[in-house]
Amino acid sequence: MESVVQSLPYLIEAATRTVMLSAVVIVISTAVGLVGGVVSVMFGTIAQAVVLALVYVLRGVPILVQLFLVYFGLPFFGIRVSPYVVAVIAISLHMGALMTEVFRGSLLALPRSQAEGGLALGMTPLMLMREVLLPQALRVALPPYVSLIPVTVKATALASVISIWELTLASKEIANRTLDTFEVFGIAFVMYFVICYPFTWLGRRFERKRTAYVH
Amino acid sequence: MNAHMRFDIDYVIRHLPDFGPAILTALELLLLALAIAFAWGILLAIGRLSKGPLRGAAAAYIEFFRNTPLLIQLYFAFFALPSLGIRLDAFETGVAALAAQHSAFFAEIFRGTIQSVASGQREAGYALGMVPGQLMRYVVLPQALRNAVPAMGNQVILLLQDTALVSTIGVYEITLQGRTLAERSAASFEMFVAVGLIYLVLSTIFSLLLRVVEQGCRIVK
Amino acid sequence: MIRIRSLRKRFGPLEVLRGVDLDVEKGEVVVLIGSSGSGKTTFLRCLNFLAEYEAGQIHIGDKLMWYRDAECRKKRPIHEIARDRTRIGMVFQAFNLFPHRTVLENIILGPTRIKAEPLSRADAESLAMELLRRVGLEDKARVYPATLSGGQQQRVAIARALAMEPEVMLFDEVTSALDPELVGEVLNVMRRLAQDGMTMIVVTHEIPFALDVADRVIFMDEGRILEQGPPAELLFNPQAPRLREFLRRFEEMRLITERMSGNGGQSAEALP
Repeated sequence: MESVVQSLPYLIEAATRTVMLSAVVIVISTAVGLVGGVVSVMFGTIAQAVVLALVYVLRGVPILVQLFLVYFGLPFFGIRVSPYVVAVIAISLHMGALMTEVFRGSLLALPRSQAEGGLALGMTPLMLMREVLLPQALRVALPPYVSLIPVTVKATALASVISIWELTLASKEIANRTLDTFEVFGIAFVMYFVICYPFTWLGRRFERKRTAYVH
Repeated sequence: MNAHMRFDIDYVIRHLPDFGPAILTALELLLLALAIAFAWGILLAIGRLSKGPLRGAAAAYIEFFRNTPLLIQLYFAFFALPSLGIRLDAFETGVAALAAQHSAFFAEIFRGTIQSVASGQREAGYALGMVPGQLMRYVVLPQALRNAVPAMGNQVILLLQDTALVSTIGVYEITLQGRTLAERSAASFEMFVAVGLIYLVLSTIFSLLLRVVEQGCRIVK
Repeated sequence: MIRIRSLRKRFGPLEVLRGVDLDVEKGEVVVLIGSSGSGKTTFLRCLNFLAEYEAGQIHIGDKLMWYRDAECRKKRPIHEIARDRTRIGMVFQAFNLFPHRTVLENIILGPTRIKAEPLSRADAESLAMELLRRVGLEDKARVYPATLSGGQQQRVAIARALAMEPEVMLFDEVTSALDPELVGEVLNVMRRLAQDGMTMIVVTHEIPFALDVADRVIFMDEGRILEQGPPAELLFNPQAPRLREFLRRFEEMRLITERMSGNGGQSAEALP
């Protein structure tokens, strides 16, 4: 138990790594999702088909497998990057696919009249998207988007499998070293919970607000 | 293209049969965990919607498992549970951890569909003289479970993907089989392309199956 | 057979029932009328305890219902309440058939699963077929409720309630959700039920039905019984100003809807 108390700073540092990794992944996957969502509704059927096919593949393959695919795939194409970059790319691609669906869904949920109104005013499609559609869609997307944040945080735990040092790897390390497995993993659970729960709570609140508004 | 980039398809094809038992193991993990998570999820949802002390316990369970990673739950079950005298082999640990986590998600699905059964249905049941248990069994659950099928389908696909994590505690399912074969050769990338395709095919098959189930379960309204 | 004394019920600050007394004889048909918000539906729901009341006593036969004491302090246990509800059939405005069960399965659920002495499936089915014949739907036993019209669904709902062999039937605006052309078939079933001697308490806006079928009409207003009597007396010679106003407004409404639908309407058909 004493060793657990001593290793607390170590675990806290690891938890900050988890938060940082999550933040990087969320930023990138949000960008991926926005581009994917917009492209899939703005351009023709070919662009749409390509985006949907990519989403299908990225969603249909476990993140762990995607990690290995990127881990071995980049060197295969002669690209060498650090494992950290591998983790960021792999998890961001998977989460990006989920976010693409969120943004695409919210854009499609807008009434047609919105787009027609904008075009009638003489807007270019790009202006229409930026000024009219996207601002409204983002509001619709907010609840499912927020709910994806804890999913992302939990996904970063998988980076430990390719030796990225974050909360899961650190707790496994210390558990193996101190044999206080129960306490160490218990602390890790609490830390993950503290990071994730606010977003779970917020997402559900937004969701409830929206359904209250719709009905 | 340089020589380095030759896609070694032969190695993959040669070892494709090795995946047979691994796929079966993954399916066993999936089906066992699914059965437990389904039943346990119903009980959790009912507990979560009850008024007694079970309400808080069910809520705590659901929130805990929804907000912590499966991987660390797996490690916990594998490394920490034995210190409590609970000894499971790696496969059983995998089933238990998958079921424990996914039951929380199933519970949330069922909670939603149980709540959305119309209040007139409950009133009609009570007016006929049902006690709450009968109402749940004959009126609410049959409708709630049918309405849960689409969301459950999604969850089953996620569960299939999560079986990959059980590779980390040494269960020879698809991912660990792929890793082993990858390490034995220079064709690591090719191997994982194959692994990815296997998952893709499996989840496609499950999606199609679930769509059939969905059709069969729909209540004419 | 039913004795109700000073029944009171409130929703928060709102007093919905302000002391209702009523006796209903065996085989009597009592029709409750009144504007919306008068408390008639709440009153009906208190009778089988779908709505809980805070004061007053309900006796069915000799039994003090729902509470153990006359002061409404101690509710009876839930299984006893459930068993007592089987003595009372109820039909709702929204039908509330179970959508995942066929018509037959809707009807036999009560007799086979809820009754204190359950029937065998075969007995329950022949009872259900008999009831379906009575409501004119014997050919619909195997279909799901969603495939039926509103009027047909409501007749099934009546059959489902009758399958429990209740001592009294409660009808809560059972034709209000129906298209005008479907109202008659449901009222006809109810009329025959009354002729067969069923004790019935009916909340309805169908004044002609009240005139035709009721033994007694009761006008409720602001949570009280304001006037009651034989239907012709009450409807043709109303005393209370509120009742006169209610009937006048009602008549205007009927004329408007009839003019709009361009025919005599269903209500006219039910006139004696």
